[in-house]
Amino acid sequence: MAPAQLIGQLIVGLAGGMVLFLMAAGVSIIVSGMNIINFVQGAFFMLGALLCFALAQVLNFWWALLLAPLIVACLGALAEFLLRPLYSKSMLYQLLITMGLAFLIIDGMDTIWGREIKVVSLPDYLNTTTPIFGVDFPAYYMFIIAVSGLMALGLWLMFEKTKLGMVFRAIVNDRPMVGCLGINVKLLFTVMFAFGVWLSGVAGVLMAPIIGIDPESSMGMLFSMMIVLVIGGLKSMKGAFFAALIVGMVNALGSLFLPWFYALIPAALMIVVLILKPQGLFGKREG
Amino acid sequence: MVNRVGAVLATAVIVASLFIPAVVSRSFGATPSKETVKIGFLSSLSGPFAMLTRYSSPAVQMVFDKVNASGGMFGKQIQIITRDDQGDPSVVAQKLSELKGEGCIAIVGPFLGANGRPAIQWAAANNIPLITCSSPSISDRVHYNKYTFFTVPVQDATSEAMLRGMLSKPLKSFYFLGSDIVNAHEMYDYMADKLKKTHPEIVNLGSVWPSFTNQEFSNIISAALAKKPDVIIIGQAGPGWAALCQQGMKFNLFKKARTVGCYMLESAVTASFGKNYPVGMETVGWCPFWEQSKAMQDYLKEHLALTKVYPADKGIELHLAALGLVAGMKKAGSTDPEAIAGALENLAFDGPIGPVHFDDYDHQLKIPIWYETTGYSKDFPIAVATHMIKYGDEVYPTKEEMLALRKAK
Repeated sequence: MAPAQLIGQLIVGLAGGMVLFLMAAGVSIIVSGMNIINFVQGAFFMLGALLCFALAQVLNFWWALLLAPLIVACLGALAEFLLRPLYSKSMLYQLLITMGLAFLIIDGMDTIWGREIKVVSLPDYLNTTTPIFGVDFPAYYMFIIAVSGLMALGLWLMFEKTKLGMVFRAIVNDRPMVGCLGINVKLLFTVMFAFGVWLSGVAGVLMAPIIGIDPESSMGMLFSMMIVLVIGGLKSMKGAFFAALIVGMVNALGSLFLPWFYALIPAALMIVVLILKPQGLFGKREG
Repeated sequence: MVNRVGAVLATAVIVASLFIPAVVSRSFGATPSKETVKIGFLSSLSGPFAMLTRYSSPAVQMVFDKVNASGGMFGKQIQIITRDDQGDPSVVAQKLSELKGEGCIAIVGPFLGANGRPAIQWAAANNIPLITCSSPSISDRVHYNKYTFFTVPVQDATSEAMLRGMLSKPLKSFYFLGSDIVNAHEMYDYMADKLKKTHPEIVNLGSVWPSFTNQEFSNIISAALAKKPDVIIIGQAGPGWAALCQQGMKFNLFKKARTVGCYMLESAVTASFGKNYPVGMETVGWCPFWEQSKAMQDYLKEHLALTKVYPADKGIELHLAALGLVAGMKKAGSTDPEAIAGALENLAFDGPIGPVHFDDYDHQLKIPIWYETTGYSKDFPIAVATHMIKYGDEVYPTKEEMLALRKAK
């Protein structure tokens, strides 16, 4: 294989990794900030994609990108109210209720939009390609890389450089202490949950033009996100970012050099990481 | 107090979600009465192929509605009792037993490939005739039994039709983009082995096996194109195929290589794309609703009137299963399961795609298979075939081949 082709393939892997990061970022915020393994996130992702489908028909793709994640975030805030009584309970209860909610949303989507696969068409100017190292690289994937990169940067700036980010970080480390400082932790939890869900909504909208939108695939999407989080470290946004890139690159190389084992590659990578570093590549050991 | 209310709400949500799949198991067709012939319909109303519901249920319903409208079967109305297998092989036997418990004398379905084997085993153990359009796998067919009949072409037949169609144009090399399901592996094995024997000059450039639920294909597409194959054979379907299509168009896949696959003109998928479906792809199928024959045009009109959507391959498989069952009951002259199973052997009847018949040695319904090229015609708002080659019995395994396979297993 020519080196140029290999570079081209790695760039495609980078795009795939950025797509994965978009999907995993929302889950990461909720897991790290609220200690909730949120099984609804896959359904919220798909809801974002479906709302994109619906809004793009009435308005256009750009309005869908703006409005759909906001609608999903509002539903996320409502879902957070349901979770409140369970914060102090075992994680098993959270898991059960988030799974129940996920199935409720999936069935709701089936009822409202029907069970046929939906696809979203892009504006013509996003349907072009540019040759990069022997690969006809789609403009839309460049757009996804740019948006994901900006979001990663924005998240880093927010967490590291703003007061809100400082409070979020404080909650992760010591929730009761933040409450003692007179900060409304309940409200912050709602904001954090809605923000995490908003990120999944954005991912859903951005992915809508490149997938077959099908509510029944929601849980499958969630598991792709979970693999990234486990590899990067469940409670690390930085981990989610780098793990997504690693998975993207490994998938890209795997499809070239180990195509027979392609379906096994992400899970195998996860198992290796769990054996060598159970807390994930960027996670901190607890306890 | 708030915590208690929240807990109650949470419990309600979980309980509600658990009951939702049960709600979709229901009866349709005739109003239940004492004098009915009960037919079980095992469908995937939820799960990964729930999108086919709009095509599968009406295809069955229209057959029995017609029988009921013309006075019923032996003077009794037919009642269809439906169960949802959730696309999950582990619940198939339980759902079938429920249908038997309801008094069903025969079963139509299931339609998913993976759900075929437990259904075949159940039918043999329970002596209930079952006409299924699942299990196109050759390895399932060797589990032949008296009670199970198949309306979907066996995998070897679709692979053979695909191979013949592919070879109708010059071919130097191929690459296989599969999925981790048995049928895709069998398709690859059949085609790779046969080409190696009959056309050793055609280069096999390898294969890739993503999950059937995969939705991210960008790196797979670029890796496949990097190998510069003449043909990429595709073993994906459903949401995965829609995703591959979307990403394939963005990476110019369909402009850079011939693509060949199954179910690519399945209207359950093509309808979603409207006028934006890739043209020039090659596929095998058995529901050419754009054909001008009277039987097909009648089926198309009836289907559109009932569902507002164009017929699909999976739908016509179920439609043929229901038609076969009605013809079998008439031939048997009774609703006794044993008599129906016996009558189905060598049964010939007419369907929307012309005359068809069940074999006695493997219970395969011999239907034509078309090798189609995707495109558009002014008469339809969704993709249809612009070029077709029709194959018949010649692409199916012969009696000797099937008996030898069964013996070998």
